[in-house]
Amino acid sequence: MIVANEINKSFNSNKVLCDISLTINRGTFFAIKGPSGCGKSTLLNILGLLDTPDSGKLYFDDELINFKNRTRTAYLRSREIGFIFQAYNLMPKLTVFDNILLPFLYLKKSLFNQNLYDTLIERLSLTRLLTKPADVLSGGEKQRVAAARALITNPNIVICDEPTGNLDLANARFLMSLLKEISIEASKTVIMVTHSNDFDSFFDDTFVFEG
Amino acid sequence: MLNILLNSLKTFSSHKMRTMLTVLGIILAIAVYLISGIYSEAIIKTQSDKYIEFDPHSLYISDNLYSTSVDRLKQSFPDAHVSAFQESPLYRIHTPDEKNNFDVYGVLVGVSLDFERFPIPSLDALDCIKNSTLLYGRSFNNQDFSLNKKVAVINLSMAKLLFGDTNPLGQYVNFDEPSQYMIIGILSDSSDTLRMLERFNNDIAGIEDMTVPFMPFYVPLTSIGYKYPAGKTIVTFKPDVDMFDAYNAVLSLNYSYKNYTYTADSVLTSLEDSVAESNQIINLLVLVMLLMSGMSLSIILIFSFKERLPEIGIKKAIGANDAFILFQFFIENAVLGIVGALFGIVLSFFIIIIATPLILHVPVSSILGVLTWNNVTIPILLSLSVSMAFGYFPSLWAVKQNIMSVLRYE
Ligand SMILES: Nc1ncnc2c1ncn2[C@@H]1O[C@H](COP(=O)(O)OP(=O)(O)OP(=O)(O)O)[C@@H](O)[C@H]1O
Ligand SMILES: [Mg+2]
Repeated sequence: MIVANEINKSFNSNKVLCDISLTINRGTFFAIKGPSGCGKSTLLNILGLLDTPDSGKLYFDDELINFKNRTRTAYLRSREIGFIFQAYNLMPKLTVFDNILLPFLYLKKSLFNQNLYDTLIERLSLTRLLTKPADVLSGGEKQRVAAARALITNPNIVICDEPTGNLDLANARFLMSLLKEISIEASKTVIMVTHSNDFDSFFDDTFVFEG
Repeated sequence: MLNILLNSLKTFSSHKMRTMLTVLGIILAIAVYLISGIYSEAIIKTQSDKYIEFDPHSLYISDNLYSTSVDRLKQSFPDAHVSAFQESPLYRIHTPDEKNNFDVYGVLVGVSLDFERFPIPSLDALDCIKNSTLLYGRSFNNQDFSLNKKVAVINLSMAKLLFGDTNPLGQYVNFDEPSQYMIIGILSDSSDTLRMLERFNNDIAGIEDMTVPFMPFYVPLTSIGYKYPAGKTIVTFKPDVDMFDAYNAVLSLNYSYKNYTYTADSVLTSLEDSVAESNQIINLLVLVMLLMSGMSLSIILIFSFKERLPEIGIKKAIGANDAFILFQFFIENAVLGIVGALFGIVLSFFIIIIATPLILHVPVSSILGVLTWNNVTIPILLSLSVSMAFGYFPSLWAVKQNIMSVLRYE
C-alpha cells in the first residue's frame, strides 16, 4: 500500500503539487490523469523516489520514506520499484540487451529470472532488436525496451509515465494487458500516467488533477 | 567487479580522445620520472664499474701519510700494508678490449701562489718542474710565477682519465678549490720528474704539521662532475681487522684525515650522493608535474562527468546507489592511472632506446643493465595514487547530483 499525505512541490516559485494526498492499495492498477503541465510527472517522480517533496509524507506499506537516506531510497528503487520513463532514459550507446539487463550491473545475478526475461522479450516483441544500440531505435521501440528494463527486476510497484504515448494501438494493447496481468496475477501495484481514455476499463482506480 | 572493469574499458574505448587527453599529463610526468631515474642509475653503475674495484679492506687516504704516522699506524696494525701511489697505482683504467689497460697515478702539479692555503713550494721542486721535459705542451715559466697564473701540469694517465681522447692542453681542472687551473703541459707517466716530485713531496711531508705544498697527487675529480677520492696512500689491512677500528685509528693519527679518508663503501656512497643530489631536483620537477597533471585530471574529469550526468542519473534512477557509482568511478580512475603509467613507461623506454645512442653516444645495452621491475611498478603505483586522489572529488561531485536535475540534462 502506498500512502501520500499532503505532498507539496514547487519549482522556484511555480507551485506544481499542492497538498496532494492519495492512497494506492497493493495489486491496484492505478491511473493518474490531468492536463499537460499539471504536475503528473512530478508526482510520479516523487512516488518513484526520484525526487524529493518540499513537504508532506510518503509511506510504502508502513515505512515512512526518509528521502534524505539515499542508500535506502536507492535500495527501494532497485528492489521495489520499476520505472518506465516518459523520456525512456535508455543508455544510448548500449545495446537493447545491455539496456534491459542494466539493473543487474549492481543487483545480485541470482535475482535474474530467465522465464520472466523470455516472457518480456516475447510479449514486447524485442527479439529482433536485442543487438541494436538503443540510440537507433524508434520512439515506440525505445518505449518497449524501457518497459522491459523496468519489469525485469520483478518489482512490486511499477510506475509508468505515459508508457503507451508512442505506441501503435496493437503494441499499446500488448503492454496494457501485460501490466494488467502483472497487477492481477502477481498482485503488483501499477501506477500509470495517461492522457488517453482508451484503456479506462483496465484501471481499478483513477486520480485526476484538477486543472 | 569484472563487469565494472569491462564497463569502464568500454567507456574509454568510446571516448579515446578524451581519455588520452585526461592521462596525457600523467604520461609525461611518468616518462620524466622514469627517464631521469633510469639514466641516473645507469650513470652510477657505469661510473662505479669504470673506476676501481675498491678493496673493502683498504682505506684510501687522499693525502700523504707522514712517515711518523705510518709508523704509528703500523704499531696498531702490524700487518697493515701502506702503499704510496708509486708502488700501487690508485686505479687501473680498463679499456674495452682489456689490452691497453693503464694505471693512473693521479699526478697533478699546479702552480698556485695562494700562500694562505699552500706554503711556498721548495725551490728544488719548482726547479724540477721547470726544467723537466714534457710529452706535450710546456712547463711552468717565470711568468707563471710572477703573474700568479693558475696553470697545471699533469701526467698522461691522468689526462686520459679526465679528458679521454680530447686534447687536454687548455682544459681546466680543479685542485679542491673553486678556481680552475688550466693545463699547460703533460708529463710522461715514466718521467723521472714524477719520481723526483715524489721525493720532494716526501721530504716536505716528513716534517709533521706542515701542509703539503702545491698538492701534487691529490685529485678531486670535480672537473668531471664527481667528488672522487683519489689519494696517494692506500692502507690495506688484514681481512680480520674491523674497518671501523682501522678508520678510527687513522683519525687518531690526525683528525683532519676525516675529510679525506675513504672506505670502499664511502667512495661509492659519495658518488651516489652526488647523483642523488641532482636527482632531488628532478624528483621535485616530477612531483610538480604529477601535481599539475593531477589537477588537470580533476578539471577534465569534471567536464567529462558533466557530459555523463544523464548516464549517472539513469543508473541511479533504476536503483544504483551512490556507493556503487562512486566505486565505478574509482575503478575508472584507477584504470586511467594505470593506462597513463603504462603509456608513460612505453614512451620513456622508446625515448631511451632512441636517445641513448643518438645523444649520449653509448649503446642502449649499457642502460638496460640497470632496469628492474621497480621501473614498472613504482610508476604505476605513483600514477595510480595521483589519479585516485585527484579523481576523488570530481567523482564525489558527480555522484551527489540530484537525480531529476541530472535526467533533465537530456
Ligand atoms: N525541474 C523542474 N524545474 C522547473 N520546473 C519544472 C521542473 N519539473 C517540472 N517543472 C514544471 O512543473 C510543471 C509540471 O511538470 P510535469 O512534468 O510534472 O507535468 P506533466 O503533468 O507531467 O505534463 P505532461 O503531461 O506534458 O508530461 C510544468 O510547468 C513544468 O514546467
Ligand atoms: Mg509528464
